[in-house]
Amino acid sequence: MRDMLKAEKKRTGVAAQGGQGKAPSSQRTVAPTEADYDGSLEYRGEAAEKITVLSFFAGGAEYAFPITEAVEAVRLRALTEVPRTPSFIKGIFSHRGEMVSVVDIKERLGIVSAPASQYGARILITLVDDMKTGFLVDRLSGVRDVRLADVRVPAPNECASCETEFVKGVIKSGDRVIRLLSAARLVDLTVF
Amino acid sequence: MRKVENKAERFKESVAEAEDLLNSMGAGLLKLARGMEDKDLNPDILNGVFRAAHTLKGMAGIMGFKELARLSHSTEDVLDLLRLGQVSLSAEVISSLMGAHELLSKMISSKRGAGFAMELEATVKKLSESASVRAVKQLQAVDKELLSLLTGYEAHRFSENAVSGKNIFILTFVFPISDFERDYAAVIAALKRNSEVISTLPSRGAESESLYFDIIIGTRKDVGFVKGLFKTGMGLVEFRTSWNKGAPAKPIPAAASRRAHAPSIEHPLPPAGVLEAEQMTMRRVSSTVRVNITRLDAIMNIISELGILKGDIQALGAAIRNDKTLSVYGLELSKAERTLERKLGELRDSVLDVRMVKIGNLFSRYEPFVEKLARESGKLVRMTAVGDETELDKLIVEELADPLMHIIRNAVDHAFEPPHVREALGKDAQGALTLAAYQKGNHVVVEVKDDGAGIDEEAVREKAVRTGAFTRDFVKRLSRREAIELIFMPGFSTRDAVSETSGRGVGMDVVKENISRLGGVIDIETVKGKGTRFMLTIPITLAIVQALIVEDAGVRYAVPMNPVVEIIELGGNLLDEAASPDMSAAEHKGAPQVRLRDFFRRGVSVVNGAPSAASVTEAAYKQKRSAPEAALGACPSVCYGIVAGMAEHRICVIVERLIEEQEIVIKPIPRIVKAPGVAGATDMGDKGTLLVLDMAGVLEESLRERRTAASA
Repeated sequence: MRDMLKAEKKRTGVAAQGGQGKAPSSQRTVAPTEADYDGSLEYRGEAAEKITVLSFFAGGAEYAFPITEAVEAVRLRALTEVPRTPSFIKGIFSHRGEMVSVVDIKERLGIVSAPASQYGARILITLVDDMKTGFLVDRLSGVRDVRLADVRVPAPNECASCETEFVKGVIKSGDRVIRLLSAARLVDLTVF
Repeated sequence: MRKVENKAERFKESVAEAEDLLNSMGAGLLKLARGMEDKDLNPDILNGVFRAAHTLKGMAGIMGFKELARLSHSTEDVLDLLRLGQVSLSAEVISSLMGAHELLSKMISSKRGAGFAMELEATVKKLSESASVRAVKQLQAVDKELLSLLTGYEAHRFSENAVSGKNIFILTFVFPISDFERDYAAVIAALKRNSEVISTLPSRGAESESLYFDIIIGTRKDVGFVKGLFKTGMGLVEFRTSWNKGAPAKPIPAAASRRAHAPSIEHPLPPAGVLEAEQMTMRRVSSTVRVNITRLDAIMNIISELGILKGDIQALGAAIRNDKTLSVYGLELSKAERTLERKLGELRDSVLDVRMVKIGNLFSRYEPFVEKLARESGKLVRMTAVGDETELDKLIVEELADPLMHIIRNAVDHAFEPPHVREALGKDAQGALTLAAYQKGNHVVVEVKDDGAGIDEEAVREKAVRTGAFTRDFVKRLSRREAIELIFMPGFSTRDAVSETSGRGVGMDVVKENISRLGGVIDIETVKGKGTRFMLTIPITLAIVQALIVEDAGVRYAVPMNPVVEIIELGGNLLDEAASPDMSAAEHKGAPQVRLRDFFRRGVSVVNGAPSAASVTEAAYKQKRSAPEAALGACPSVCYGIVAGMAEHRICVIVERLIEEQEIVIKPIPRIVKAPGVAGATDMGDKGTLLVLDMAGVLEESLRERRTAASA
């Protein structure tokens, strides 16, 4: 209690001099801000040179999302169509108490191909900006670590023209080519 | 990952807490400003504001917001000088503090720790300048010895009381040790009703069983008041007058002896101010728990899933009852199932109850805002709030915040006349703005009422023609109500000049949109020269609604029952007319009719609520329902019209079948599938996911199409 009083007097003294210099600095170490917190935990040390991706097949080609954007994969299920929405949006379904919209990734990417067998098809759920979106894919491929050195920016003419909008990078892994997609752009309705 | 979430969670909580602090700070500053006019500085309020700034500073440190910390620190400094009387409260100080408060609010709502450097410098400079004028100590020759026992702040309060012509008494109380804390608190509370407690000092005569304290109070009451205290049995044993209004009193002889008995360093009890501050920060509002609304949503989800499970049990019970050998168990099961249903209902009600907050919290946020707007636009406006106790779902209250702000801003900016004009019109120079809330059935009505100029119907019509959106003929045909509702058109403003706060022509359409999204309706009553009343009718909660499950063209939908007025059976012949795009059949009933599947089959005209650039998007969209089988009028002999009412509007939505009535939980749908007329979706368990109709949206869209057709 005495300490509190002393503290009060001391602070009063500082205030009376009109000073306002040093108080915040002593508290600076308590916690980083929300923004730099994410960064400070992930990509540390060796991990900084690698990213983990979840890859899948759609129309014969292999694609991937960063594992940080992928939430989970579920089997196909009945969807409820929503009228007056773009045709590549197949509908919505209720998943763990949340409504998730489903995008046909082939249609979105402009890939024309025979429908894949229902057997391997999955809905791959991603989370971007608090919004969960499912992508209809032909078959899951797997989770793999990719060295950042193996990811390069796609050349303008590398993919079909409509695709490049959505491809963040091209991963070269042995003799396979995996295109790293941006879920955020895929669900941005102003991008075509 | 978990850690990141926790961190984010804590961050959100800190922001929420900071918002509360800023609210109370804002309210406190406002009261100080009012008090300043009446030359009455209430130390309790000042202390409250000071504590808020102090706590905020600490939180800024925890959040890592350097700029926030710096500004709250400067603010705290100025408040501290005020508290100690080293700076006197002037209009300049108040305005610099309010400026700082505004910037603090901005920082918090941006949730950023940086990026305000320019504003910060200016505000801090203003703060320190306003506080550079030191008050002259007016009272020196009091009892030096007594003053030496007091802390700086207490001494300041002592002289303040003396200067402002109050009596200062030293009351000696005796408390039994066993009940000391309780009795002491009771005495302080009683004294505070009529006086200011300046300090509490330990007194002579300590006995083993009891404690003696001198409590120094300043009061406008005279000796009679103190004498009256003897009769209350609170333990008052003696009093002295330390300062008498009128003439300085003689030095108090007792002081010297007191000192001998009670060395000032060994306070067994902290001075009143400190004690109070500690209670504020350590204990808080004891029994309140702050809960993130998403957690309540999660509980709500579980409850709705339990409801679906209950349905399964019910079906099972019915099956068992029909089996002869098991029917006894079937009955038992049904009984248990009914109890379960009741308990589920109670559970749901209590969760809904937890989500309810008083709208007064929201109303009080506008008070400083109105004050500031009025000051800036050179008007006199007094805001009063009625119905503070009215409760609404927390989410709805937050969704209301911006629309209400727009309406209030418009009122202050456009509706109220300048003071001299008002006087010339025979009105009170000070305009009256009233916020009111009251419950009406399942809805809450929130009113914003002003006694300003009213909306000029003719000016609105004229403006509508000038925007080029309507022909003069069309505008002329509109009823008075329809004409006034033109103000909700995007880009509408009757003012030509753009003011700093409003009048850019954005606002009312956004207000309308926000309110419709909540399933609410806006009504306007206006009398030219007398004023305007905006009435927002909003459902109390969005979480659970009674809904009608309907089917049309083979698809099932849920229709919330809230706005449904009646359900009518339609014969085939009526339908042919009804299905035409115009409203005809039931026009005499005042309800435009729309066939549900036609409404949804129409092409995509809207993306995410805004008209789309047709050229880019059209190709990518398709009509989802196949057209041929849905030829107009191809419908069973009987259809149903669901008539929904939103304030004075009616709409009749035609469907093929009514399935059942059920309680549903409306879940929001992802923004990329937002479509007009769809409020959300609901999970029906085995029966799949259904879209929930937004009747207000259907009405809105139908009216818009009708208007487009008319003006074309």
